[in-house]
Amino acid sequence: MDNWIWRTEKIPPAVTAWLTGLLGNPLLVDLAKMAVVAALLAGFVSALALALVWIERKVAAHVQQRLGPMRVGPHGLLQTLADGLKLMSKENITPLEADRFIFHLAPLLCFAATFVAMAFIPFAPAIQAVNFNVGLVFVLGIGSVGVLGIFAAGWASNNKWSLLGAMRAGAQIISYELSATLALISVIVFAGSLDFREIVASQAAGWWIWRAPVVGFVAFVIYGIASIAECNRTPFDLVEGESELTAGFHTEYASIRFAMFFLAEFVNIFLVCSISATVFLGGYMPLHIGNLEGFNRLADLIPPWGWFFAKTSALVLVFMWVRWTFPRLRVDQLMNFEWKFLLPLSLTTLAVASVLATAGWFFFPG
Amino acid sequence: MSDEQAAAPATPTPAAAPSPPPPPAPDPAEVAFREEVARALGTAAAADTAAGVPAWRVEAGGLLGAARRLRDAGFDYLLFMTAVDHPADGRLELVYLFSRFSGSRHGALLADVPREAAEVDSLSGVWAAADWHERETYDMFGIRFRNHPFLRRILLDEDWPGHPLRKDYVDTLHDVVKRPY
Amino acid sequence: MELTRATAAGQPGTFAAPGYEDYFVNMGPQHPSTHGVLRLVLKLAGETVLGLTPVLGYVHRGIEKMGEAMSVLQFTHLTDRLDYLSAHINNWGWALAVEEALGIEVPERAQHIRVIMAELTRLASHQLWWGVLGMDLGAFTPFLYGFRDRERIIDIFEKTCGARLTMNYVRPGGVTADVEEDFAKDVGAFLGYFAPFIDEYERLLGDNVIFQERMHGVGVLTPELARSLGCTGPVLRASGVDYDVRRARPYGLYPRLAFTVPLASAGDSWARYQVRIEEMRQSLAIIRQALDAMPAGPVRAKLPAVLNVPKGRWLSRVETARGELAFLLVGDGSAKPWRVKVRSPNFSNLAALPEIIKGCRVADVVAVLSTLDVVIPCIDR
Repeated sequence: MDNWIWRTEKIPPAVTAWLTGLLGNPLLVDLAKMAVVAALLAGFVSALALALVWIERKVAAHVQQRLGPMRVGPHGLLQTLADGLKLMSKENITPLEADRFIFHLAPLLCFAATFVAMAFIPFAPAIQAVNFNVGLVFVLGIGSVGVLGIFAAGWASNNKWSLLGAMRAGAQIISYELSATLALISVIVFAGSLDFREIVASQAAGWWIWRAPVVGFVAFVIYGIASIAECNRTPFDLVEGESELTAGFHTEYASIRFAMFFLAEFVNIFLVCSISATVFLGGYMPLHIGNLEGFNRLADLIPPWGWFFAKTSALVLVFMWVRWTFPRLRVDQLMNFEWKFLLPLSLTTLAVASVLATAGWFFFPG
Repeated sequence: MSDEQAAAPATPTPAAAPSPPPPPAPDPAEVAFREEVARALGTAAAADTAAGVPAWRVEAGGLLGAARRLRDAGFDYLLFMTAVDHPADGRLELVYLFSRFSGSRHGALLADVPREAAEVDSLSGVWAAADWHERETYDMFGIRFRNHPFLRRILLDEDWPGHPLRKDYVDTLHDVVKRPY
Repeated sequence: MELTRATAAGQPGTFAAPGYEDYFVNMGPQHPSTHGVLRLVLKLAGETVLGLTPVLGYVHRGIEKMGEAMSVLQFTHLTDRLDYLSAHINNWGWALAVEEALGIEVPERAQHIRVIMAELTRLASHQLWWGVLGMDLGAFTPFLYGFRDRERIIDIFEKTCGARLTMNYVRPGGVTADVEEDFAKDVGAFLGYFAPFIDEYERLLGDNVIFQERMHGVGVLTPELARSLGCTGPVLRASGVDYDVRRARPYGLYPRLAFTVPLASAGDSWARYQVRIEEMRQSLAIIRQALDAMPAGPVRAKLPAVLNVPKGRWLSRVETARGELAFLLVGDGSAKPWRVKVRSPNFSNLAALPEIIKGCRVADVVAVLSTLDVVIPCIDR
């Protein structure tokens, strides 16, 4: 359990050493490392998107008492690949009166925003594409660029229904970002840093969801709700409300551009769930219970990235479960919920958390 | 049934054809209903003698007054309003089927308009239901309703030629193969 | 486009004069939630609906005109295709009109079968309505649950009359053919299977706070407007008017059956939802009674080869899943009717939409249309 699978912090030095042996020039080695990481990240995110679509379809199917994709590959595993190929082979339609430049730019904005944000997520010790000392703020900020993409899509489509969807998106996402950020900060005041690595390290004694008394759990729930709204998922999916707006802001998009919106949405889900897992559930830290040596040793058998994916996947599954169960909120109800309930609640949580953190009234301080 | 039917040789069926039912004994509730409607309508309406739905005929000009009297007498339910084309008599017969939500019996208010320049008052002020039914009657028969809030075709295109439910309607838009039934 | 120009010009009863923020949006004719091919021209100020004009006629097939060209038995085929979710009840309505005109007596067994089929149809229609209501509001799962349970009823229909949608089974004189031997067993099994599911439906959708928020106070229909417009069915009963054709003017076996007619008083979408859920329970009770008392015997009266419609006007009225369907049969003595008029319940129910939707949001249009439960082919005929 000392090899690179569990002790992933051994991987970057090993790769650097190999590249230095290969290339020599430190500048070239840096460039090569960037290229390798970018390629790996790109591959990973794409594969992730494909896998998530398949999982979504299977979860939806089983909730609805049916089987879902079964034919393309064993249990439909290759279904998303087939859909991707189909989408790529469709005609790329641009509406006649659409604002061409923005119309073409919008899906790129959405996809790029989510893609870049994924670079900051710590999957395992030292397995993190970019580490930044204000990583959390940067991720939240980059995630907001996605709103621009939705807005641009709705406006540039020259379609009243798309515009309606885009307007709703603007109102919704910007509102719920407030609660989401405040909920995260409520835990950051305990962790004491915005750096993802240090946030995870601060949870060595216990995860913040229970270690910060009450506040941790409340903030977790608030962030969960707010992030569902951020992702435009039911019950907050009136942005693309299928039964009202057909497809909302991306009605006019066909083929690969639609695929980019679609995949961006799924990667976004993974992104917010991984942030939630990192900040509240300890990231790649295993679950250790006090002095139960046996249990802790068992827990350590699972490599850190296994823990990370397990936590994130559990949250993603909850997202999907919620999607297929609840009807959607109306836009005024949604705004009321945020401004009259969730925001005051998150402000209160932050206030209480600040008091608890400065006074040191949480489990295992110091 | 028409006289020819009764005098014709037996139709080739083994079982006896059901003869037209004998006129039923007057049902007291039915009689009471007829009297109530006749009272509401007053002298303007004459009871129609056709079989089936109890009907009262009024002049086309007296339609609005008769409808108001019916509504005031408690007949708040207009089931529908339509027309029947009688080209042989040169008239379009308007049929207004009224009833009440608190009762079970229905009656028909009839009025005749000439087939050319068919025009009558709109009853949409009496029963709101008449609004769309009159639009449909205009669409299908070409009867104009005075003071209707929005008299446009409702089921067919705005520029459709002709009025289909008239007996002399010929479809000029489509290639229709007429099959004899 | 002429319609919007005319309405924009301030036709009384439609829209107010447009302000600078107002814009027109087309909902339909192709739209996931207009329950058919219906075009709604919405006048919006932001998300608020200032006015609505339905444009009908996309599914107009000229059924009334066709009725003048075929015999009364042949017309039964066309009645299935009005409100196709109440096919058996439509057939029954037409059969009643013909039977009254010609003085035909229907055997007892046929009456029982007719009632069972009609109430099963009502149940199937309400199951579909519930599923589609959930889907229109964003909860996609109820759609599949409703259809899963509806399949049981459709299987019974297929066994009996061979068709899943356009039944053509209830004809003047009775029903086409007798039911299969295991009909009682199948129907009994279905009754036992489905009764607890109504409670599950209520738990899944009705107890959901989001659903309740979407339904309460949305699209309130006052009883005065409902009466004036001739609205019938659950739409009317949710506004507090106790009117059901099965009670007001009983036909078939209904005089001898014990059931309650659900009423609500709020007149909003929630009331319409509750009324239909309760109607499902009542339908189960009716089927149980009719099934238990079903006698043996013939299922169709003997009819002559040619059915000549006597001179006169005959009206039959039945309660479909959506309201009162009436057939006016005007005869001239020949085998073909002189005029057939179909009084569509959805036609009158939809007339209420422009009035009750004023001031609601775009999302509410979908919710209200779903609780009005209109089927467009019935409106357009």
